[in-house]
Amino acid sequence: MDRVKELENEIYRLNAIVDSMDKSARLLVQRDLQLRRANIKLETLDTQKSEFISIAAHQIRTPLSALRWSQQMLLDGDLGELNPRQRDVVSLAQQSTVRLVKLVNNLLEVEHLELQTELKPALPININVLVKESCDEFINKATEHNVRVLVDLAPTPAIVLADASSVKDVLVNIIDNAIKYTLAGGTVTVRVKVVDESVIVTVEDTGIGIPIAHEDKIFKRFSRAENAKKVDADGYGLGLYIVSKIMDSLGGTVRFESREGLGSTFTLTFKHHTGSV
Amino acid sequence: MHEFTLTNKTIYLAEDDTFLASVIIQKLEMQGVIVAHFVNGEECLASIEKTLPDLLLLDIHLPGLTGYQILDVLASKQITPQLPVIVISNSGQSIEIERIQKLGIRDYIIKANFAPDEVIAKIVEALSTTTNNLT
Repeated sequence: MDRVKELENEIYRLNAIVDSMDKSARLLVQRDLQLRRANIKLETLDTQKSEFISIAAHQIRTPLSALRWSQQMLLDGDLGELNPRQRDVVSLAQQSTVRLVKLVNNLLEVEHLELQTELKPALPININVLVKESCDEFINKATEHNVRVLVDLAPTPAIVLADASSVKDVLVNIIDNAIKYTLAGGTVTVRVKVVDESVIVTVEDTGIGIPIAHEDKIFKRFSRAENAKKVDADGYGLGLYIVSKIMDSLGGTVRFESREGLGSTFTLTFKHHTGSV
Repeated sequence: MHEFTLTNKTIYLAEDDTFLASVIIQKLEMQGVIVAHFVNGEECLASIEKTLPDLLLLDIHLPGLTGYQILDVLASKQITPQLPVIVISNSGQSIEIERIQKLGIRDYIIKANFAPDEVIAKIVEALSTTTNNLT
Protein backbone atom coordinates (compact mmCIF):
# COMPACT_ATOMS: atom_id res chain seq x y z
CA MET A 1 0.00 0.00 0.00
CA ASP A 2 3.02 2.32 0.42
CA ARG A 3 3.41 2.37 -3.35
CA VAL A 4 -0.24 3.36 -3.82
CA LYS A 5 0.14 6.22 -1.35
CA GLU A 6 3.36 7.34 -3.00
CA LEU A 7 1.66 7.44 -6.42
CA GLU A 8 -1.34 9.34 -5.05
CA ASN A 9 0.99 11.97 -3.59
CA GLU A 10 2.70 12.19 -6.97
CA ILE A 11 -0.66 12.68 -8.70
CA TYR A 12 -1.60 15.42 -6.24
CA ARG A 13 1.71 17.20 -6.90
CA LEU A 14 1.29 16.91 -10.68
CA ASN A 15 -2.27 18.25 -10.48
CA ALA A 16 -0.93 21.42 -8.96
CA ILE A 17 1.59 21.76 -11.83
CA VAL A 18 -1.17 21.23 -14.44
CA ASP A 19 -2.96 24.37 -13.31
CA SER A 20 0.00 26.47 -14.39
CA MET A 21 0.42 24.95 -17.90
CA ASP A 22 -0.87 25.70 -21.40
CA LYS A 23 -3.65 23.58 -22.94
CA SER A 24 -1.61 20.90 -24.85
CA ALA A 25 0.85 20.35 -22.05
CA ARG A 26 -2.06 20.12 -19.65
CA LEU A 27 -3.72 17.48 -21.86
CA LEU A 28 -0.52 15.40 -21.88
CA VAL A 29 -0.13 15.54 -18.14
CA GLN A 30 -3.82 14.67 -17.67
CA ARG A 31 -3.38 11.59 -19.89
CA ASP A 32 -0.35 10.62 -17.86
CA LEU A 33 -2.41 10.99 -14.70
CA GLN A 34 -5.19 8.81 -16.12
CA LEU A 35 -2.67 6.10 -16.97
CA ARG A 36 -1.16 6.22 -13.52
CA ARG A 37 -4.61 5.97 -11.91
CA ALA A 38 -5.43 2.97 -14.12
CA ASN A 39 -2.10 1.42 -13.16
CA ILE A 40 -2.78 1.86 -9.45
CA LYS A 41 -6.19 0.26 -9.92
CA LEU A 42 -4.66 -2.69 -11.78
CA GLU A 43 -1.97 -3.19 -9.15
CA THR A 44 -4.60 -3.15 -6.41
CA LEU A 45 -6.80 -5.61 -8.30
CA ASP A 46 -3.83 -7.88 -8.91
CA THR A 47 -2.94 -7.91 -5.21
CA GLN A 48 -6.56 -8.59 -4.27
CA LYS A 49 -6.75 -11.42 -6.82
CA SER A 50 -3.59 -13.02 -5.46
CA GLU A 51 -4.78 -12.73 -1.86
CA PHE A 52 -8.13 -14.22 -2.86
CA ILE A 53 -6.54 -17.22 -4.59
CA SER A 54 -4.19 -17.79 -1.68
CA ILE A 55 -6.94 -17.63 0.98
CA ALA A 56 -9.39 -19.64 -1.13
CA ALA A 57 -6.82 -22.36 -1.80
CA HIS A 58 -5.94 -22.67 1.90
CA GLN A 59 -9.58 -22.79 2.88
CA ILE A 60 -10.31 -25.42 0.23
CA ARG A 61 -7.50 -27.64 1.51
CA THR A 62 -9.19 -28.17 4.89
CA PRO A 63 -12.42 -29.84 3.68
CA LEU A 64 -10.32 -31.68 1.08
CA SER A 65 -8.17 -33.09 3.87
CA ALA A 66 -11.24 -34.39 5.69
CA LEU A 67 -12.56 -35.95 2.48
CA ARG A 68 -9.24 -37.56 1.65
CA TRP A 69 -8.72 -38.93 5.15
CA SER A 70 -12.23 -40.31 5.56
CA GLN A 71 -12.10 -41.95 2.09
CA GLN A 72 -8.76 -43.55 2.98
CA MET A 73 -10.21 -44.90 6.23
CA LEU A 74 -13.07 -46.46 4.29
CA LEU A 75 -10.62 -48.04 1.82
CA ASP A 76 -8.41 -49.30 4.65
CA GLY A 77 -11.41 -51.10 6.13
CA ASP A 78 -11.13 -49.09 9.34
CA LEU A 79 -14.91 -48.65 9.40
CA GLY A 80 -15.77 -52.17 8.25
CA GLU A 81 -15.07 -54.09 5.06
CA LEU A 82 -16.46 -52.63 1.82
CA ASN A 83 -17.94 -54.79 -0.90
CA PRO A 84 -16.18 -54.57 -4.30
CA ARG A 85 -18.72 -52.08 -5.71
CA GLN A 86 -18.47 -49.81 -2.66
CA ARG A 87 -14.69 -50.03 -2.84
CA ASP A 88 -14.70 -48.97 -6.52
CA VAL A 89 -16.92 -45.96 -5.81
CA VAL A 90 -14.86 -44.80 -2.81
CA SER A 91 -11.66 -45.37 -4.77
CA LEU A 92 -12.91 -43.17 -7.62
CA ALA A 93 -14.01 -40.51 -5.14
CA GLN A 94 -10.57 -40.57 -3.57
CA GLN A 95 -8.82 -40.26 -6.92
CA SER A 96 -10.87 -37.13 -7.63
CA THR A 97 -10.06 -35.74 -4.20
CA VAL A 98 -6.32 -36.29 -4.66
CA ARG A 99 -6.57 -34.72 -8.10
CA LEU A 100 -8.24 -31.66 -6.60
CA VAL A 101 -5.57 -31.45 -3.89
CA LYS A 102 -2.94 -31.51 -6.63
CA LEU A 103 -4.69 -28.73 -8.54
CA VAL A 104 -4.93 -26.53 -5.43
CA ASN A 105 -1.25 -27.19 -4.66
CA ASN A 106 -0.30 -26.27 -8.23
CA LEU A 107 -2.37 -23.08 -8.16
CA LEU A 108 -0.71 -22.04 -4.90
CA GLU A 109 2.72 -22.80 -6.37
CA VAL A 110 1.96 -20.77 -9.51
CA GLU A 111 0.65 -17.87 -7.44
CA HIS A 112 3.74 -17.97 -5.24
CA LEU A 113 6.09 -18.05 -8.22
CA GLU A 114 4.31 -15.18 -9.96
CA LEU A 115 4.26 -13.00 -6.88
CA GLN A 116 7.84 -13.88 -5.90
CA THR A 117 7.07 -12.44 -2.47
CA GLU A 118 9.35 -14.84 -0.63
CA LEU A 119 12.94 -15.27 -1.71
CA LYS A 120 14.06 -18.69 -0.57
CA PRO A 121 17.64 -18.76 0.72
CA ALA A 122 20.16 -20.42 -1.60
CA LEU A 123 22.51 -22.94 0.00
CA PRO A 124 25.11 -25.30 -1.51
CA ILE A 125 23.34 -28.57 -2.34
CA ASN A 126 24.49 -31.77 -4.00
CA ILE A 127 22.26 -32.46 -7.02
CA ASN A 128 23.34 -36.14 -6.95
CA VAL A 129 21.60 -36.52 -3.58
CA LEU A 130 18.40 -34.77 -4.69
CA VAL A 131 18.20 -36.80 -7.91
CA LYS A 132 18.65 -40.05 -5.98
CA GLU A 133 15.97 -39.02 -3.45
CA SER A 134 13.57 -37.94 -6.20
CA CYS A 135 14.02 -41.19 -8.18
CA ASP A 136 13.51 -43.25 -5.01
CA GLU A 137 10.15 -41.55 -4.48
CA PHE A 138 8.98 -42.95 -7.82
CA ILE A 139 9.99 -46.60 -7.32
CA ASN A 140 6.40 -47.70 -6.68
CA LYS A 141 4.93 -45.65 -9.51
CA ALA A 142 7.53 -46.92 -11.99
CA THR A 143 6.84 -50.51 -10.92
CA GLU A 144 3.09 -50.00 -11.34
CA HIS A 145 3.64 -48.57 -14.85
CA ASN A 146 6.21 -51.28 -15.65
CA VAL A 147 8.76 -48.60 -16.51
CA ARG A 148 12.45 -49.11 -15.72
CA VAL A 149 14.20 -46.13 -14.11
CA LEU A 150 17.99 -45.97 -14.52
CA VAL A 151 20.02 -43.49 -12.52
CA ASP A 152 23.52 -42.42 -13.49
CA LEU A 153 24.95 -39.92 -11.01
CA ALA A 154 28.05 -37.76 -11.42
CA PRO A 155 31.17 -39.40 -9.94
CA THR A 156 31.95 -36.25 -7.95
CA PRO A 157 29.57 -34.08 -5.89
CA ALA A 158 27.45 -31.95 -8.24
CA ILE A 159 27.13 -28.84 -6.12
CA VAL A 160 24.83 -25.94 -6.98
CA LEU A 161 23.80 -22.92 -4.96
CA ALA A 162 20.02 -23.07 -4.71
CA ASP A 163 17.01 -23.69 -2.52
CA ALA A 164 16.79 -27.49 -2.19
CA SER A 165 12.98 -27.67 -2.06
CA SER A 166 12.68 -25.70 -5.32
CA VAL A 167 15.19 -27.95 -7.08
CA LYS A 168 13.35 -30.99 -5.73
CA ASP A 169 10.05 -29.63 -7.10
CA VAL A 170 11.67 -29.35 -10.54
CA LEU A 171 13.16 -32.85 -10.46
CA VAL A 172 9.97 -34.46 -9.19
CA ASN A 173 7.90 -32.77 -11.90
CA ILE A 174 10.21 -33.85 -14.72
CA ILE A 175 10.71 -37.43 -13.49
CA ASP A 176 6.99 -37.82 -12.79
CA ASN A 177 6.18 -36.72 -16.34
CA ALA A 178 8.80 -39.06 -17.83
CA ILE A 179 7.34 -42.09 -16.03
CA LYS A 180 3.73 -41.03 -16.67
CA TYR A 181 4.21 -40.60 -20.41
CA THR A 182 6.32 -43.73 -20.95
CA LEU A 183 4.35 -46.80 -21.88
CA ALA A 184 4.80 -50.18 -20.17
CA GLY A 185 8.14 -51.78 -20.94
CA GLY A 186 9.85 -48.43 -21.54
CA THR A 187 12.81 -46.83 -19.80
CA VAL A 188 13.53 -43.53 -18.09
CA THR A 189 17.19 -42.62 -17.66
CA VAL A 190 18.21 -39.86 -15.27
CA ARG A 191 21.78 -38.63 -15.53
CA VAL A 192 23.78 -36.04 -13.60
CA LYS A 193 26.96 -34.61 -15.10
CA VAL A 194 29.33 -31.85 -14.12
CA VAL A 195 30.53 -30.16 -17.30
CA ASP A 196 32.86 -27.16 -16.95
CA GLU A 197 30.91 -24.60 -14.94
CA SER A 198 27.57 -26.37 -15.17
CA VAL A 199 25.71 -29.17 -13.44
CA ILE A 200 23.51 -30.85 -16.03
CA VAL A 201 20.62 -33.17 -15.27
CA THR A 202 19.05 -35.03 -18.18
CA VAL A 203 15.85 -37.04 -17.96
CA GLU A 204 15.48 -39.18 -21.03
CA ASP A 205 12.43 -41.34 -21.69
CA THR A 206 11.23 -43.71 -24.37
CA GLY A 207 7.71 -42.33 -24.05
CA ILE A 208 5.05 -40.83 -26.28
CA GLY A 209 7.05 -37.70 -27.13
CA ILE A 210 5.81 -34.20 -27.83
CA PRO A 211 4.06 -33.37 -31.12
CA ILE A 212 5.95 -30.74 -33.15
CA ALA A 213 2.87 -28.51 -33.20
CA HIS A 214 2.89 -28.40 -29.42
CA GLU A 215 6.60 -27.86 -28.82
CA ASP A 216 6.41 -24.08 -28.43
CA LYS A 217 3.56 -24.34 -25.94
CA ILE A 218 4.77 -26.91 -23.43
CA PHE A 219 6.01 -24.39 -20.87
CA LYS A 220 2.79 -22.36 -20.99
CA ARG A 221 0.09 -22.53 -18.32
CA PHE A 222 -2.70 -25.10 -18.78
CA SER A 223 -1.10 -26.33 -21.98
CA ARG A 224 -1.47 -30.05 -22.77
CA ALA A 225 -0.78 -31.91 -26.00
CA GLU A 226 -3.50 -34.22 -27.33
CA ASN A 227 -1.36 -37.37 -26.99
CA ALA A 228 -0.64 -36.46 -23.34
CA LYS A 229 -4.37 -36.11 -22.60
CA LYS A 230 -4.95 -39.61 -23.96
CA VAL A 231 -2.35 -41.13 -21.63
CA ASP A 232 -3.27 -39.08 -18.57
CA ALA A 233 -6.65 -37.36 -18.64
CA ASP A 234 -6.18 -35.93 -15.15
CA GLY A 235 -3.31 -33.47 -15.72
CA TYR A 236 -3.76 -29.70 -15.66
CA GLY A 237 -0.81 -28.55 -17.73
CA LEU A 238 0.82 -26.63 -14.87
CA GLY A 239 3.84 -28.83 -14.07
CA LEU A 240 6.20 -27.67 -16.82
CA TYR A 241 5.09 -24.06 -16.38
CA ILE A 242 6.10 -24.35 -12.71
CA VAL A 243 9.39 -26.00 -13.72
CA SER A 244 10.29 -23.18 -16.11
CA LYS A 245 9.38 -20.49 -13.57
CA ILE A 246 11.47 -22.17 -10.86
CA MET A 247 14.45 -22.65 -13.19
CA ASP A 248 14.22 -18.95 -14.14
CA SER A 249 14.20 -17.96 -10.49
CA LEU A 250 17.25 -20.19 -9.83
CA GLY A 251 19.15 -18.69 -12.76
CA GLY A 252 19.17 -22.04 -14.55
CA THR A 253 17.62 -23.29 -17.77
CA VAL A 254 15.32 -26.07 -18.90
CA ARG A 255 15.16 -27.25 -22.49
CA PHE A 256 13.99 -30.37 -24.27
CA GLU A 257 14.34 -32.46 -27.38
CA SER A 258 11.57 -34.77 -28.45
CA ARG A 259 10.23 -36.93 -31.24
CA GLU A 260 6.61 -37.92 -31.12
CA GLY A 261 6.26 -41.64 -30.54
CA LEU A 262 9.94 -42.11 -29.68
CA GLY A 263 10.53 -40.16 -26.49
CA SER A 264 11.77 -36.95 -24.93
CA THR A 265 14.86 -35.69 -23.17
CA PHE A 266 14.59 -32.80 -20.73
CA THR A 267 17.83 -31.05 -19.79
CA LEU A 268 18.20 -28.93 -16.67
CA THR A 269 21.29 -26.78 -16.39
CA PHE A 270 22.46 -25.23 -13.13
CA LYS A 271 25.53 -23.15 -12.40
CA HIS A 272 28.19 -25.33 -10.73
CA HIS A 273 29.20 -24.12 -7.30
CA THR A 274 32.76 -24.97 -6.42
CA GLY A 275 32.33 -24.70 -2.63
CA SER A 276 31.38 -27.57 -0.33
CA VAL A 277 27.94 -28.72 0.90
CA MET B 1 13.39 -55.71 20.71
CA HIS B 2 9.64 -55.11 20.55
CA GLU B 3 7.65 -53.00 18.11
CA PHE B 4 6.76 -49.49 19.22
CA THR B 5 3.04 -49.08 19.91
CA LEU B 6 0.79 -46.08 20.42
CA THR B 7 -1.49 -47.91 22.86
CA ASN B 8 -2.32 -45.78 25.91
CA LYS B 9 -0.31 -42.82 24.64
CA THR B 10 -2.02 -39.49 25.26
CA ILE B 11 -2.29 -37.05 22.39
CA TYR B 12 -3.78 -33.57 22.56
CA LEU B 13 -5.35 -32.51 19.28
CA ALA B 14 -5.92 -28.77 18.72
CA GLU B 15 -8.05 -28.53 15.55
CA ASP B 16 -11.02 -26.25 14.99
CA ASP B 17 -12.43 -28.13 12.00
CA THR B 18 -14.66 -30.62 13.80
CA PHE B 19 -15.14 -32.96 10.85
CA LEU B 20 -11.42 -33.25 10.18
CA ALA B 21 -10.82 -33.64 13.92
CA SER B 22 -13.33 -36.51 14.10
CA VAL B 23 -11.49 -38.33 11.30
CA ILE B 24 -8.12 -37.91 13.04
CA ILE B 25 -9.59 -38.96 16.41
CA GLN B 26 -11.11 -42.14 14.97
CA LYS B 27 -7.82 -43.09 13.34
CA LEU B 28 -5.84 -42.44 16.52
CA GLU B 29 -8.31 -44.23 18.79
CA MET B 30 -8.08 -47.29 16.57
CA GLN B 31 -4.38 -47.34 17.48
CA GLY B 32 -5.26 -47.31 21.19
CA VAL B 33 -4.38 -43.63 21.64
CA ILE B 34 -6.18 -41.57 24.28
CA VAL B 35 -7.12 -38.35 22.49
CA ALA B 36 -8.17 -35.06 24.05
CA HIS B 37 -9.60 -32.68 21.46
CA PHE B 38 -9.61 -28.88 21.72
CA VAL B 39 -11.27 -26.49 19.30
CA ASN B 40 -9.56 -23.38 20.63
CA GLY B 41 -6.06 -22.48 21.71
CA GLU B 42 -6.82 -21.31 25.26
CA GLU B 43 -8.31 -24.61 26.42
CA CYS B 44 -5.50 -26.55 24.78
CA LEU B 45 -2.78 -24.48 26.48
CA ALA B 46 -4.54 -24.65 29.86
CA SER B 47 -4.69 -28.44 29.61
CA ILE B 48 -1.03 -28.74 28.61
CA GLU B 49 -0.03 -26.60 31.59
CA LYS B 50 -2.09 -28.86 33.85
CA THR B 51 -1.03 -32.26 32.43
CA LEU B 52 1.56 -32.89 29.72
CA PRO B 53 0.38 -35.28 27.00
CA ASP B 54 2.81 -37.57 25.17
CA LEU B 55 2.41 -35.51 22.00
CA LEU B 56 0.60 -32.42 20.73
CA LEU B 57 -0.99 -32.29 17.26
CA LEU B 58 -1.43 -28.58 16.70
CA ASP B 59 -3.25 -26.64 14.00
CA ILE B 60 -1.74 -23.19 13.50
CA HIS B 61 -4.88 -21.29 12.56
CA LEU B 62 -6.98 -21.68 15.70
CA PRO B 63 -9.59 -19.27 17.04
CA GLY B 64 -8.46 -17.34 20.12
CA LEU B 65 -4.86 -18.26 20.87
CA THR B 66 -3.21 -19.28 17.60
CA GLY B 67 -0.81 -22.17 17.21
CA TYR B 68 2.04 -19.66 17.02
CA GLN B 69 1.08 -18.16 20.36
CA ILE B 70 0.81 -21.60 21.96
CA LEU B 71 4.26 -22.53 20.65
CA ASP B 72 5.64 -19.22 21.95
CA VAL B 73 4.30 -19.94 25.44
CA LEU B 74 5.55 -23.54 25.37
CA ALA B 75 9.01 -22.36 24.32
CA SER B 76 9.15 -19.58 26.92
CA LYS B 77 8.17 -22.01 29.69
CA GLN B 78 10.72 -24.58 28.52
CA ILE B 79 7.94 -27.10 27.87
CA THR B 80 8.80 -27.72 24.20
CA PRO B 81 11.87 -29.90 24.84
CA GLN B 82 9.74 -32.37 26.84
CA LEU B 83 6.71 -32.28 24.54
CA PRO B 84 6.93 -33.42 20.92
CA VAL B 85 4.78 -31.14 18.77
CA ILE B 86 3.62 -31.92 15.25
CA VAL B 87 2.05 -28.97 13.50
CA ILE B 88 -0.83 -29.77 11.16
CA SER B 89 -1.70 -26.93 8.84
CA ASN B 90 -3.04 -26.32 5.40
CA SER B 91 -1.07 -23.20 4.67
CA GLY B 92 2.25 -24.71 3.60
CA GLN B 93 3.75 -21.26 3.10
CA SER B 94 7.51 -21.39 3.59
CA ILE B 95 7.38 -18.28 5.76
CA GLU B 96 5.05 -20.15 8.16
CA ILE B 97 7.18 -23.29 8.15
CA GLU B 98 10.38 -21.34 8.85
CA ARG B 99 8.71 -19.41 11.68
CA ILE B 100 7.45 -22.48 13.52
CA GLN B 101 10.59 -24.54 12.94
CA LYS B 102 12.41 -21.98 15.07
CA LEU B 103 9.98 -22.79 17.89
CA GLY B 104 11.27 -26.34 18.28
CA ILE B 105 8.51 -28.39 16.66
CA ARG B 106 9.12 -32.01 15.70
CA ASP B 107 7.35 -32.08 12.34
CA TYR B 108 5.11 -30.11 9.99
CA ILE B 109 2.29 -31.68 8.01
CA ILE B 110 0.23 -30.13 5.24
CA LYS B 111 -2.97 -32.01 5.99
CA ALA B 112 -4.26 -32.26 2.45
CA ASN B 113 -1.00 -33.79 1.22
CA PHE B 114 -0.96 -36.69 3.66
CA ALA B 115 -2.98 -39.84 4.15
CA PRO B 116 -3.98 -40.81 7.72
CA ASP B 117 -1.47 -43.68 7.86
CA GLU B 118 1.35 -41.31 6.97
CA VAL B 119 0.30 -39.02 9.82
CA ILE B 120 0.26 -41.98 12.20
CA ALA B 121 3.75 -42.94 10.95
CA LYS B 122 5.01 -39.44 11.75
CA ILE B 123 3.48 -39.62 15.23
CA VAL B 124 5.12 -43.01 15.83
CA GLU B 125 8.43 -41.62 14.60
CA ALA B 126 8.20 -38.58 16.89
CA LEU B 127 7.19 -40.62 19.94
CA SER B 128 9.65 -43.46 19.43
CA THR B 129 12.49 -40.97 19.02
CA THR B 130 11.43 -39.22 22.22
CA THR B 131 11.24 -42.53 24.08
CA ASN B 132 14.65 -43.57 22.78
CA ASN B 133 16.12 -40.28 23.83
CA LEU B 134 14.79 -40.68 27.32
CA THR B 135 15.92 -44.23 27.84
